[in-house]
Amino acid sequence: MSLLITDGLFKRFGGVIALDNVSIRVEPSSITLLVGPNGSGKSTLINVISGFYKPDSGRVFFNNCEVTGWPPHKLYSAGIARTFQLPAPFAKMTVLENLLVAAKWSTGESPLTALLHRRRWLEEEAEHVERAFRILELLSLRHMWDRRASELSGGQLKLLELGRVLMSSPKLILLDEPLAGINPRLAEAIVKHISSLRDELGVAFLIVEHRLDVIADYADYAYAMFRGRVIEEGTPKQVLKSPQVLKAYLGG
Amino acid sequence: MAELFSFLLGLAAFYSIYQMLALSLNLEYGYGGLPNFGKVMFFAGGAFVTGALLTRLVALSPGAPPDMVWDVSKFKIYNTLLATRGSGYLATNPLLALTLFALMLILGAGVGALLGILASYPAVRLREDYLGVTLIVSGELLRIVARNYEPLVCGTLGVSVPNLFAWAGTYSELIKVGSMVAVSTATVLLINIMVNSPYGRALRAMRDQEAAAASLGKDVVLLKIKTLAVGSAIAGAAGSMYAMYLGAVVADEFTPLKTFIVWLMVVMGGAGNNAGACLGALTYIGIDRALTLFKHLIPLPFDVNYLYYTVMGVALILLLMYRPEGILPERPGRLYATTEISSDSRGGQAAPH
Ligand SMILES: Nc1ncnc2c1ncn2[C@@H]1O[C@H](COP(=O)(O)OP(=O)(O)O)[C@@H](O)[C@H]1O
Ligand SMILES: [Mg+2]
Repeated sequence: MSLLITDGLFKRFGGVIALDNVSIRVEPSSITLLVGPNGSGKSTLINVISGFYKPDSGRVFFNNCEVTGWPPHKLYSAGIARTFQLPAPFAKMTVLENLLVAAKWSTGESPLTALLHRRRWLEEEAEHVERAFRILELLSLRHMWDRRASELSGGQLKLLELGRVLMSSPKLILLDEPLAGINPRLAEAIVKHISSLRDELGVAFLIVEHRLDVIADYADYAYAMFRGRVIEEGTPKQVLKSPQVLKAYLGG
Repeated sequence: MAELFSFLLGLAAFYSIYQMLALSLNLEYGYGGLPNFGKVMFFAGGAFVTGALLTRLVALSPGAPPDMVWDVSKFKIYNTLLATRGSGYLATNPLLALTLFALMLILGAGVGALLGILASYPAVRLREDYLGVTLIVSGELLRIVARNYEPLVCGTLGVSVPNLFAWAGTYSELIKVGSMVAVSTATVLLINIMVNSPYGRALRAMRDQEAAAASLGKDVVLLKIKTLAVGSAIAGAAGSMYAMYLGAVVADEFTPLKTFIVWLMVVMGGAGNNAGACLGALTYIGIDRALTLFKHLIPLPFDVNYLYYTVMGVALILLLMYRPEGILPERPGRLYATTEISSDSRGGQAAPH
């Protein structure tokens, strides 16, 4: 059974049909690529799956459960995490705090529990800080841990986005152009890390990315979109060689 | 000497009240980004419930004629008398008086919280700017209801409130203000725990990037409701304390000017920093009290308060131009550091990998 299924999603913005009958699947413990020229509807699809947009019609299933129209925070607790194409940092907070926000709390996040269960959340806090530092290490951001997010470069912000979603052990991670603006060596390292998360922890990824040279070898499956439609699917090699896809990119 | 003493007492009393208001706004706006331009409504809510209930409750104990208490046209005339008699009765019963003090604070907080939850109804549906406008209007709404609906706090005449500290005799004022300082200090401690907890961090995240906070599991609607409830409960308790301190509640005192004074304190002191909000409150109240005391010494053809508002306005503009984050800017959240961080990363430039 697939982890994520979208079934005939439609979404229009005024005259633009951003999603036109989009049905895709993401298998557990896999990396699924989503390619297509700008304006194809890739980000819109991510926004619908993560609960930021409601589809005009069609349904979304996650983990055998219909989740169409669920609000983002509920999808996050269900196990779907996402990053944003344009980095969305908590600008006045430190890098470490940005990660800590993303931890899944059982306690301490409401005014009352913050007061009444202080000991419990302090214990949790220590674990989260430790986990956050491991992630920062991995993303080569550790030396920046006590800087405000507003001081980071564009590439570092992308890494921060990635780091945040790793805090909660999600089942499915939606990444919207995670490698844009990141130097080739680090990009390679991140892709390797993503594939090891898939292999070791069984995390599934749906990744929108243009830098196919870096990522295609690691992906299990791919969809190509053009003008709101899925025009091709298959292994990354098949999809990238498809004449339809080439035409879409060239004629884009 | 006696004059200085009473000046300091007055300062401490007003500071206690405004410290609570400034901290509550700082929680909502400084940490949560919620533009509460209706602060006075929640403050008034606490004051009104105290004004409406305390004199009546106390009058019933020494057995005042019930129609004086419940018939509004009579209560309007006799409330001051009832309050004075009540004070006398309570002078012999300190335990009851202190229980009433606590009860009124709790009631004020409860009414504040309730109004806060009502106000959050638009808050979770409106964009920030519209929310601000909505709140200004609803702040005025409560005052207008109170001035026209006499059973509450006797309309425009106002209602007297008995002195809950008459039992302390000569020390009455001192103990009253001491209790207020204690309540206000307890609020500081509670709010400090809150803002330095995962809750406070979630608030700042919501303020900085609401969409990202939602995508990372924060129920921003619920966060806003809870935050307005807590902030308004604190403002309500402050309002109740204000009523008990002054010994009277007059509806028309609760104008939007009060809201703006609290905003001034927070923005000048430093939004997102509790020490800043307190410093802002102290600065404003200090100057305000001093002016009240010494204004007869300043020869001006108009009320010196107008000069004060002008000076404060200019100070605010200058501050926003040259130090937009306030006197004490926001600092990173408190880190509950593990040994690992403090030993090898704090302040250090770990080798890049
Ligand atoms: N919030 C929105 N409002 C109006 N139009 C939108 C919105 N989001 C996306 N679109 C439109 O939908 C189409 C698909 O956009 P998008 O999903 O961002 O494409 P991609 O991520 O593949 O580049 C574009 O024509 C875009 O202009
Ligand atoms: Mg996009």
